Amino acid sequence: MNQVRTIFIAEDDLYIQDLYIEILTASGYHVVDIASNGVEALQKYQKMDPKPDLVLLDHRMPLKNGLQVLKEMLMINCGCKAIFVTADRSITEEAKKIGATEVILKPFRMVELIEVIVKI
Amino acid sequence: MDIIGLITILVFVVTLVSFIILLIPRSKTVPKHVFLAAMLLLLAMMFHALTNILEWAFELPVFDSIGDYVQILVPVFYFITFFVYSMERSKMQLLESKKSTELYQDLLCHDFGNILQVILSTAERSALTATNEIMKERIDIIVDQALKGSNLITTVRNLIDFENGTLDTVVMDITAVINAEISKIIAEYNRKTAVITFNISNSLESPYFVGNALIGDIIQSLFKKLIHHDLTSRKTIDVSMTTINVLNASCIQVELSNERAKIPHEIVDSLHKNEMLLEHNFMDLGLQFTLIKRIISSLNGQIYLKQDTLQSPAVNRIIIQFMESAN
Repeated sequence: MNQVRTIFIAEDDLYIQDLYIEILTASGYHVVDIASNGVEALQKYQKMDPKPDLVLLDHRMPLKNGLQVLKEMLMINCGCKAIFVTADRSITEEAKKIGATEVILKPFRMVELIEVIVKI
Repeated sequence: MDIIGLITILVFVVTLVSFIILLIPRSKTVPKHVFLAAMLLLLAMMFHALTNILEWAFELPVFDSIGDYVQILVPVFYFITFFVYSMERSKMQLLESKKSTELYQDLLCHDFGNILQVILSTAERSALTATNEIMKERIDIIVDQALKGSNLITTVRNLIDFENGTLDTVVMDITAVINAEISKIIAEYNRKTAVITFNISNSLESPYFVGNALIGDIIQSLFKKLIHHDLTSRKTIDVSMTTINVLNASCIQVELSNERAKIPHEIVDSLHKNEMLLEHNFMDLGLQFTLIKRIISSLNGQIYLKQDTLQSPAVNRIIIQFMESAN
């Protein structure tokens, strides 16, 4: 088993939330919580103790976008590992610069997501 | 004091105030040349009013001739200011409209990305529990289509970047690009009734050239043109890659041909005239030749369409050339 066990999901699309939970749970990961917007993601992340091994972070979310959330999460916990998920290719470099562990472009196959998590 | 004198003083004061207001640091959105033209206009108006005041107050006819010149200069400066302002306003409106279009395109690409993600993941999830072979095959089709949709979004994004001049160029291996596109074509068409065979000959000294993310789309579009314009069910495409010398420079030449394909001359003409074809007959074949030519030209490459025999009424050979690059 790899290092990642617990995953926190920040994604505003309810269908995608369900899909993540089902696929990640079936692959042996524990989804600790879900947030549907940027502010909720930060509030929940701040309160979490212990912090999750990985954050699955969508870019375009209400209230705060993924890049802002990632910046603040890294201020809360500089060791935060996050997979940045976006349909917007133009922000890939920026997300990496800010500190995203990996960037995945939507749409992706679930097997790709699992492969990326395993590598972390 | 007569009414003309009052008006002149008023013009002078208003112009002076406008001049001072213009001198105060303002929004950066006012372009420098509009600002300069407005200043010149106001200076001319101020000077004109001043000469009139001096003439009226001190009865000095010496200002008459200067006033005459300024009277000519005021409308000239006025029209220059008006013209420059109109041009700038049109430019800003165009930029605004471009920004909005990009925003809508971005929104469309993003939302489509999410929709395709749900379709793709739901299909994958269903595949895990599907036991029926027919159902599995249908799920595979859904997955394929969602991935095709995803590729289409990527292509549209690359095209937007290309049009904006922000698409990066990278050193690419032409053999890798062609092999990848052949695999995609085989996966797409050989599932159906059409059977496509590729004959590849490679005598390249070096496969490297400077390309961009649209090269794969170009090769795929060219393959599709040779496939769709061949009405027989078994299609054979010959792919030949050679190194040629053009004006003492090493070039990669790729020749794609299908002797049974008949690409209509309207398409060839569109390439020569640099016009996009809007008729539906020619719109279902991936990127159009005109766009392909623009992309290839932007990479210092060339594209030619040739017919194999003089008797043939249509084109069936496509030749593209790129400058060879160090790895």
